[in-house]
Amino acid sequence: MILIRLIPTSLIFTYGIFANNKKQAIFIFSLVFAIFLIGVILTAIGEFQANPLVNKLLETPSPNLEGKEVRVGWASTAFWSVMTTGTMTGAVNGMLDSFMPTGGFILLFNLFLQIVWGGQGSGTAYLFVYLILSVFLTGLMVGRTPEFLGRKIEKPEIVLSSLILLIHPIAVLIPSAVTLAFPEILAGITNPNSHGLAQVVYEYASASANNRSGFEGLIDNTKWWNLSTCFSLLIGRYIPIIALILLADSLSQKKPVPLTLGTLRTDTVLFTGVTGGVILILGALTFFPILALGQIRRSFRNCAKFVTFNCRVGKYFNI
Amino acid sequence: MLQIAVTLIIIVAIAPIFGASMAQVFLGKPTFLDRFLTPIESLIYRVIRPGSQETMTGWEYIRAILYSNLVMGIWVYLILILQGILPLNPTNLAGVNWDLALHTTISFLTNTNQQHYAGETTLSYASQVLALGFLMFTSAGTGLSVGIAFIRGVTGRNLGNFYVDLTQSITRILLPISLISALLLLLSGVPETLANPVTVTTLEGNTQIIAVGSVAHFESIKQLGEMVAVFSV
Repeated sequence: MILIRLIPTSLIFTYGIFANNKKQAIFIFSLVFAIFLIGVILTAIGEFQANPLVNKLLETPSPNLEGKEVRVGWASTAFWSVMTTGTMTGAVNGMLDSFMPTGGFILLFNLFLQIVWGGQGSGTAYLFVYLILSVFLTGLMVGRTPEFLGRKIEKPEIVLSSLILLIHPIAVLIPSAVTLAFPEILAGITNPNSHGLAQVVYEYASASANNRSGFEGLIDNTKWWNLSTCFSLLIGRYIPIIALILLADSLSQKKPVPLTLGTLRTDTVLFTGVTGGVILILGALTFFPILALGQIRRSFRNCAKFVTFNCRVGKYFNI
Repeated sequence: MLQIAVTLIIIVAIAPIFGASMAQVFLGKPTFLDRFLTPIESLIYRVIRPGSQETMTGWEYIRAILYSNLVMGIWVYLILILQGILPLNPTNLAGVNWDLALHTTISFLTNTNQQHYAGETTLSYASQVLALGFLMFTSAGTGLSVGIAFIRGVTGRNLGNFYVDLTQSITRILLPISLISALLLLLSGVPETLANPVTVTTLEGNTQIIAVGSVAHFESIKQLGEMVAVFSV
C-alpha cells in the first residue's frame, strides 16, 4: 500500500531539491494530501451510510458491504480505492461497481484530475502543468508578469499546458459518446440508466488516465472495447508525454529573470490555495456534465426512491 | 481506521527521504549503490549504446521514447500471439486473439494494465513474466524518466539522455525496491514458481485446482509501478 504512492509522493520532494525550493515542495505536497484526504473521507462517509433503501429493508443501519471483502471492511476498501484510482494503479480490493454513488463520484473525479498523487512521474508533471496555469491566471488577475521559477510563461507554454489538460477529456468523452450512441451493437453494459453511463465513462477514463481499474460489470473483451480503449490508451499516454517534454524543453531554454518585488511568489499559502482552486474548477468544469448524468443523478435517485418508499410504507400502515 | 492513519503517517515520513535519494540518483551524485550498479549499468550501456551525448533536445528525447516503446510493444505482442508454441506454458494455453493481444500490449505499454481477460486462464508463464513483467518495469521507468526530464526542464537544466534515465530508474529505483518487497511477500507465503498449478483437496472433499506462478515479484512491481493484478490468487 505504501509502495503505490512512494514514487509519486517522493517525486514532489525530488523536485524541491532540483529547484532548490523545499518550501514549495512542502506546500504542493500538503495541497495534494488535503485533496486526497477529502476524497477518502467523502467516500468513506458514503459507504458508511450505505444505501438507505437496503438499510430500510434490513431495519438496521449498516455500511455498504456489497462487493467488498468482509475481512478488509468498508473503511479500508474506501481508502484503498481512492488511493489506487488517484495513483493510477487501479488495483482493487472491492468491486467499484458496487460502491455507493458518492464513492463512485470521487473515484471518477480522481481519474479525471490525474494528480491526486498521479502516475509514475507523469502524474507529478501534471501537477506542475496546473501550477503553470495557476501562475498564468493569477498573474493576469493581479497584473504581474507570469513567471514560474524565474522563467516567463508565454504563449507556447500555455498552449502546451492546455493541450495536456484537454487530451484527457477528448480521449474519454468522445469514445464514450460513440459507445452510448450505439448501445445494442457495441456496449456490454450490464446496469441500467445512469449507472450504466458511469460504467462506460469509467472504462475510458481509466484507459486514458492509464489507470486500468474498471468499474467492472462491463462485458469488455469484445473487438469494440479492445480497439476503442486502445485509442484512449495511446493518445492518453503519448500526446501528454510529447507535450510535457516540449514544455520542459522550451522552459529550460529561457533565460532566467531575476527575482524582483514585482515577481509573483509561488511558495506561499495563498498561491497554493489558488492552485487548489484551479485544479478543482478545471477538473469539475471539464467533466461535470458527465458526473451529473452519472453519479450525481444516481445519488439523487436513491434519495427520491427512499422518500417514495417511506411514503408507501406509511400508506400501508396508515401513518 | 488506525491502520489508515498509520499508513498515512508512514507515507508522510518517508516521502521526503525517498525524494531526496531520487534526486541524488538523477542529479548524478554518488550513492551507496554505485559499487554494485555502475558495472551492471556500463554493461547495459555497452549493449544499448545510449549515444555519447550527455543530453538530448526535446524532440530527440521524444523520439527516443517513441522508438523504444514501439520496439517493446512489438516484442510483447509477438510473445502474446505466439504463446501457444513458446515454452513455459504448462497449462497449454493457446495464443491470444489479435485484438485482445493488441489491447493487452498497449495497455501494459502505457503503464495502464487494463485487462479484458482473466490472467491465469489466458496467459502462459512466458507471457506473464517475459512480456508483461518486462513492460511493467519499462513502462514505469518511462513514466519516471518523463517526470524527471520535466523537472529538469522547468528548473532550467538540460533534459538528459532518455536511455540513461530509463536504465537508471529501473536499476536504481524500481528494481531494488521491488526486490525487497518481493522477498517480503515470499516470506509471507505468496507463491513464486514456474511449476504446474496445484491440485488440492478441500475440506468438503472436492478437488480444486489453484493457479500458481511467479506471483510474488509480480505483485510488488505492479503496486510500485502502479500496475494491477495479473494473477488474482
